[in-house]
Amino acid sequence: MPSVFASVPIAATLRTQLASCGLRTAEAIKNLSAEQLSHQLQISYEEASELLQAVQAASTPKPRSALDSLSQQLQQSNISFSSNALDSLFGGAGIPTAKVIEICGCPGTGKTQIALQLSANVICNPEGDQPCRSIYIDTEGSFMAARLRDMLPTVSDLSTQDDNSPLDNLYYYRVCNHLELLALVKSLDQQLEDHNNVRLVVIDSIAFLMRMNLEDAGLRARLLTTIGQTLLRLARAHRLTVLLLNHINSKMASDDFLPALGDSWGHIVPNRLLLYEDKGRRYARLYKSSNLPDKTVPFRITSQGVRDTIPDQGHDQSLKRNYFTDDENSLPDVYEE
Amino acid sequence: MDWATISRLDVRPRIHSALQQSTYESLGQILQAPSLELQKRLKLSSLEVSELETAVCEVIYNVRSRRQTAAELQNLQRFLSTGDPACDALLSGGIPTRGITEIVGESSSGKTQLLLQLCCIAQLPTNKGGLGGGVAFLHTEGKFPIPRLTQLLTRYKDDFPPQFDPSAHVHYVNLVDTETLYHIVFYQLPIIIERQQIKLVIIDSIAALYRGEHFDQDTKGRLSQRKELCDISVQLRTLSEQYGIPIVCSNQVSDALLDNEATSILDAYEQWLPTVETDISDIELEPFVASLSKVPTLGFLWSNSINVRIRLARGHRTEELMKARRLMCVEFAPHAGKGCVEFEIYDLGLRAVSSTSETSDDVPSL
Repeated sequence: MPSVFASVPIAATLRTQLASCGLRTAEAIKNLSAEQLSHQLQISYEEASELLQAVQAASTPKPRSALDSLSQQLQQSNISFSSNALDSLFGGAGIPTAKVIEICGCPGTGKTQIALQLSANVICNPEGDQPCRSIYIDTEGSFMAARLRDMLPTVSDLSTQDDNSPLDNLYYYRVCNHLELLALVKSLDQQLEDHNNVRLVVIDSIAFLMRMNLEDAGLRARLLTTIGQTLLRLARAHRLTVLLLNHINSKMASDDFLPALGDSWGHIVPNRLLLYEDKGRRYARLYKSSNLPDKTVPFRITSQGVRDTIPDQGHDQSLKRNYFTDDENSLPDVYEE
Repeated sequence: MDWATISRLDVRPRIHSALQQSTYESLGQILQAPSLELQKRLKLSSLEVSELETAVCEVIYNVRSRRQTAAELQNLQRFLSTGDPACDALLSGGIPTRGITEIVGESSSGKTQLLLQLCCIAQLPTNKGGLGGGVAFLHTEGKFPIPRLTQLLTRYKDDFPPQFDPSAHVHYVNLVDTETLYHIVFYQLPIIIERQQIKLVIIDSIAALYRGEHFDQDTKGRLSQRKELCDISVQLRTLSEQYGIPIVCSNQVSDALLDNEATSILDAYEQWLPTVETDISDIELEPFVASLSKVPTLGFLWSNSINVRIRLARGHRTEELMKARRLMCVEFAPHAGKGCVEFEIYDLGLRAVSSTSETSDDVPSL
């Protein structure tokens, strides 16, 4: 979608001047007085106040009725997990736009796989004739392009394009330390204005660079808040979904997981999804959400990506019987709490 | 701050001079500082501070030059072969050249044997599954097994040019404490990787030092040790990314202390049964379950720091078959699903055993 700043009617020369002063967003200009602006840009006071008014008019949110926002929400296309069970966690059609979601889980529970599947579904579903883009910020080096390619849903009208073109719509950034991560998140605003139609931003993972290696707990909390707030703002302003992957720090008892990064981070993320494995099967539990019930669903990961479990698990059960004489009741496919 | 750093910032002269007089020592400090603090300490307007922040972000992370698309990355992905087609198939191609791969298992489950085999294969040209470069081997468990390495290299002698001595390209160091490990990983490893054309870094094992030291330390000491482990994992991943080389670490296991033995074995059954006994591989889990029930050391902190975990398990000896049975399992990997292969160690290394006629059809024998 076009940015606020791009839609403000400003002369091209003035825009270049603004950019040379580091003023690339409406946000930055709004905070200034007309005097400061006229001094900085060496333009008359009248011109500066006109500019300010135009920027303010364009960026002030107009009051909207609940009906308007509801109808807008219904128009937005959701991002599907490629699994009906996982989609049902978010109301049936996958992740709605403009959500910030954290996925946490032990290593090997499928965090990266779900992130790849969601990315694949974004880049394969263009909106009209506009291709949708996805940004993948990798802090761990676990991104595998070939795995992403395997997960691409087969689209029938691919004949006009060559096979690679969906992959061109995923922008990948590798960050190696917490400063790079902070700098990248702070420059995302500019990125999102340069490339329209970014629908998904993934950080895989938020925890790895923000662990014990940052000794100063106060600094770590502040950086996390900065990153969290920036992402929440971007999600709202650009109507994109932000997916944050997080680690599990310790497993106190068999069903008590503790996500990394502590409580202050827990307050920032509005939606949390926990992935875990039990008896060799994978489960996802939505355990924090502002508007959806706590629910647990099973899923599986195949060579083509994230999928629903097959209802018939008879094969596994018969194998188990060899080892466990007291026949355990199999888990129901979906159980709600 | 020194002029060389300041001059990299694309800002107006007034901001340059304000930085020169300030007490800030690095660009990182400026990036982390809140805008209001910058305004106060540098005596700049909010406009100038936002200009400065944009410029600092650009120097620390240049978004345009660091951006890659998935289509570009697809051509860069490479794998290091394990030397056995069935094991490579298990790993969907082999050990990925980015990130840290952990090989964990009981003592005598074959960890070091696999690592030594990787030492040989890494030096092969890329069309033979290798990476065409030397190996840096950080060895922490006793004496480096040179005779065994020499023996393994004979298997590949025809693949190397006549004058090429592969053992000359395995650079090893014996480590005795965590301080030396830290120093080598941070200061010497980057230099040796560059100078000696290192294409594979092996640490055998990461656990021995961190497990063995500081039994009686207080909370503060343990915390600093955990921080060190975090730092090492960040540094290893950075090196892997920078030079495009795989990092392979071995790790030990400990008995599951939380539950009693019977429970942990039952858990291992439930966890591994769907992986081991599938339609494709019909390996009996029973001999290996005691070995698989053990827990990798160093906890969640380390588990969260690795990309791939390969589990080696050793079956208990049976009366009629004196030879130990061994199992290689993929516990997690971003590119490969769970699975396992039974393998054996023979005089020239490590190879998969086809337990049923079904698997021997799929896997061409060596």
